[in-house]
Amino acid sequence: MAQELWAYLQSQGKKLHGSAAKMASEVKRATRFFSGSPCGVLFHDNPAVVDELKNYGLEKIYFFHLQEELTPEEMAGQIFSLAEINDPEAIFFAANAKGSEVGARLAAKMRKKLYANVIDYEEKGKELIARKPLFGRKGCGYYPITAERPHIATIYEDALDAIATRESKKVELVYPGCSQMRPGARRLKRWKLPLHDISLQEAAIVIGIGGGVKDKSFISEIQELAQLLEASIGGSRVAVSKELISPGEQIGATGEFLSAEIYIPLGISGSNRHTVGLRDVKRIFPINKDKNAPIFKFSEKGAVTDIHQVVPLVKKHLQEKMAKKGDDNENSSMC
Amino acid sequence: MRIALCVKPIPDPELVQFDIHKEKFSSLVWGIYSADLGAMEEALRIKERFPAEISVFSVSPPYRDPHDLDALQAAYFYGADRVVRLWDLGYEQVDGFTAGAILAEEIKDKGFDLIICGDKSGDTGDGYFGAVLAECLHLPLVTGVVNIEIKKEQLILDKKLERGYRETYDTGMPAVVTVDESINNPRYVALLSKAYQEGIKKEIENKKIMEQTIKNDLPNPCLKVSQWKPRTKGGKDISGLSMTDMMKMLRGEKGDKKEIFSGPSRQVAQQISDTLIEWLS
Repeated sequence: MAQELWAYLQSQGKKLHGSAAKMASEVKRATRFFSGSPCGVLFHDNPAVVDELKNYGLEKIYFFHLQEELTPEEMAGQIFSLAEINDPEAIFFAANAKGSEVGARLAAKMRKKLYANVIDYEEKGKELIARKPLFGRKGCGYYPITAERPHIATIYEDALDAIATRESKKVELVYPGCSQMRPGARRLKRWKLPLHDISLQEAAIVIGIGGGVKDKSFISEIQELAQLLEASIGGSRVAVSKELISPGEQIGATGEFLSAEIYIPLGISGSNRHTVGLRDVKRIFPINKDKNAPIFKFSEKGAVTDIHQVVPLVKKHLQEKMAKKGDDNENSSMC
Repeated sequence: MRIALCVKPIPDPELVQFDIHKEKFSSLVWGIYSADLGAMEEALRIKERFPAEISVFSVSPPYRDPHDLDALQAAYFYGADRVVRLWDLGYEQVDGFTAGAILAEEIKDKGFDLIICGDKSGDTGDGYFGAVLAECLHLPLVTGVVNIEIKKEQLILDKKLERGYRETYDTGMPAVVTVDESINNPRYVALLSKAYQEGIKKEIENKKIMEQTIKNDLPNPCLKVSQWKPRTKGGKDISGLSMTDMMKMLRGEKGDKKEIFSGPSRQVAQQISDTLIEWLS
């Protein structure tokens, strides 16, 4: 049987998770270090989604066609059964919460070591070495890859990149049957915390309040904007000193570190003490009246304007757009 | 109820630094930190609600804390009934896989109802120790737990997902549970407190690791350490980049042209809301 390298391609509801294309690229990249053709393993209810992955160099996708989302335990069990038949050379996961758990469970089931959080591989003579972070990002450790197969690894998220190939390629779809499993723990429900209970560290969208906010009377405007965006509120140390936010809402060196998709700092200059808490934020949109504020160095987009004038207008625009979107949805459902 | 709490003493992750001259980590203050501390606190809270006995296990060398005490002694300050170290190996360290296999051999068939540990190691960030333990013991496993309820013989567990989402699981006992660091705020045990004074007198049991448990599970030691080095992306040489530019690259900005809006407030507000809606879709 031809050797294969597998990547777990994560779903998110009806769509593919942001890491799926990155992991497709990663397994293609892994052919530099391991022998095998790049393949994916995907659990989803709609085979059409594989079209989104045709530009990333995959040759095959093992597609588990399922109506219900499996637990990580069940996914690991299915991949285990598939691996016993097909004997891959290596299996890779993104080192996010789900990928890490499925990878860990699979490695444990297969009685193989898991190389967790691999930043990159290096060849040293005939030896292959994995580089991993230690103590957050304070340093790196170098670990030899043993000869045991399959090699199972989770790849450090920041190391991943979705790199499209020049040509799209028809990916062979294989539909493995699902083996019967009896999970050890039963999932009862999935639910979401109320917005005010979501920690800053977990929040997808965060609005930051800075010293540029004149006084407490403006906070209610910001809170209304946060409600619209389903955002949490944090801020700078200066905002804490001015009692605009509580100490628990401080972002930065002596406060919380964000991992948000979007951070909107309002009137925050962007001192190092604050920006150190933003290194995992995906997108930053500062709004500040000072065009030379250091915070603008950390963003692709931003606005130089008076937050006290613009925030109420942004709120109004968003309310109108969201109301219009609601009307459009209602009209389309009536057709 | 019998609880097995599995911990790994590490250097305090907040204090540790990388010494670029000596090419090693410095400021090593050994103790029980991060998610393991959360697991310990959670075990204590269960003991406060139910009759329970807590046995702490660790596969680790005898590191000393800043007061020159065994780093595991803290488990007694926190209220553990028994603390067991498994060591006596020629290695400086073991990985999560080896440690899990060793501990499983030690605690199997000992009648523990709940086996609890931290979700991730605070030094390596590895999170598969719990999975190895559960697999070796053939027990159910729930990871990333942020709330534990015990009802009769069942565990009702809330698991943390991303972005404020949670899942609730139920399982019978015995089971393996790994806890997220955010599960609780661990108590502080003051130096001259009664808990400290009593805990300092208790003995840690040191046991040899049975060789047969590791003959096929050799540890995978770290060859060397270095300062932080991210993956080079897009063929770029990052050695000359400032920290600011490196952060930009890690966020995927790759030197894209900036778009900073300015002008009349109405116009800028429109541009801001258009951008946010595009980003949110």
